Amino acid sequence: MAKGIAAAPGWPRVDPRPAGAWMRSSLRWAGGWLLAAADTVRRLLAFSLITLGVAATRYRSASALIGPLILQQVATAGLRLLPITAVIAAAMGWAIVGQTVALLTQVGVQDLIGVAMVTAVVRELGPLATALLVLLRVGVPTVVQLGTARALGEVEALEALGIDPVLLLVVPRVLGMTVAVFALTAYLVVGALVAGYGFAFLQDVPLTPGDYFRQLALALTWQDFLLLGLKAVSFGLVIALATCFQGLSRALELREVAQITGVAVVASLLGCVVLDALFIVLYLLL
Amino acid sequence: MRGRTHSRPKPPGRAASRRVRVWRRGRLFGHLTLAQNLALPLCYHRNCRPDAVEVEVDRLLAQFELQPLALRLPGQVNGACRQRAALARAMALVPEVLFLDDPLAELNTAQVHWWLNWLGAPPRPTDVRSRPATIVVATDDLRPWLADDRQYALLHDGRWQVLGNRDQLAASPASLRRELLAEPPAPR
Repeated sequence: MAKGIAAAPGWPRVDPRPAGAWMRSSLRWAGGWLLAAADTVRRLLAFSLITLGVAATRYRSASALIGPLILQQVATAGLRLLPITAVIAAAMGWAIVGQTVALLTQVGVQDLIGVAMVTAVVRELGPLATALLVLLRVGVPTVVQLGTARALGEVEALEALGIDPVLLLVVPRVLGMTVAVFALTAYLVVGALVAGYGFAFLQDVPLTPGDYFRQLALALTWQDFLLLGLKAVSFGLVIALATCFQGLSRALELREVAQITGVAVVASLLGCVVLDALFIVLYLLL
Repeated sequence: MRGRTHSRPKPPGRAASRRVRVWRRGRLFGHLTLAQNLALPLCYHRNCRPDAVEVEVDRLLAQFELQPLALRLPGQVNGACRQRAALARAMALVPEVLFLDDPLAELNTAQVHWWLNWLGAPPRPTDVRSRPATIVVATDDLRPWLADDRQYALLHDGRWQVLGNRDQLAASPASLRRELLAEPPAPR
């Protein structure tokens, strides 16, 4: 009986292996993980192409139904998150902008305030914080909704009714989340910079609003606006596609929904981090 | 049909599936009300907004005796109503062939009567949708389905075996009859 329980899947086992075997098994695990990750990326790319193809070719055939769904997603992923975005902008303004401005003023390098703010808030923290916010508040519910629908056979029922599940379930979410991340990033960056000056003012930093915003304007280039927009759109796409992909890509049972939710969050985070690294290279090249 | 002429309603759309399946327990969309569940395929295939099919959905709900539950979510009604709503949703598409997945399982006597009556009774002039010409029912228990105008087949080990009409079914081997009709073994 005890042997039967220990042999059950999911039960922790301790194998008395020699040191060399552990190394081999670790390498085998790492290799397997890499191959699985590569396969997931390949399938995710295929899923993205299918979504793009469906949006381009079939949207017009059901635009009266899908159009309002897209607006609803923009409201869910964007408008509903405005209050929490304002709170995060204020927190970021206080924690980063306010303190950095005060510190730079103390050491007498006020001229670097604009560059520091643009590098920290506009290029890096603004888009990343927004992406995290949308992932947690919208991406996670998306995986749960789609995974549950898949597990309960609702997606199969859609297909049986001649309805394209990608057009009805994925396209509105992808467009809605992409627009939402773009818009919320802009609000977050502006909010953090304004709130940051407010907190610096409260600390009696001898810097006029005119000087502060002039330095910001001087530090910003057209590449910053272009790459900020591209970055926000890319983050939105990655989060939306990864969450929809994990929810719909394979037949699920209800007990697996929690597991794929975790996988989707990790995949989205990894995707955003990789994209962020690519954008840093782009900033350096431009 | 049975001495009367019935005009078939226009199919809901160019791409609508003409072979529609009704699953056991319905598989309705949990976040939509029963009325919205019925409106969804119509709006999709006709490319229109839900308010454009409101009247048709109301009449369908009335035909399937679901009007009082129109604004309820599937989770707020019992399984029999969910299954009937799934039937109404399938009928909204004017199918040529309707597949029913063991529709009488898990139903009480009154609901079984409703289904058998819907399948066997002649269409009424008030019906928004008349029954499709072909209805395929998958079931484990043939007894409620025995009628003269039906054909029977057996799906066993992935093979399809046509049994024929009721008389041919009665003439099939005793072991098969025992399995399909739960007939008691012959006395020794």
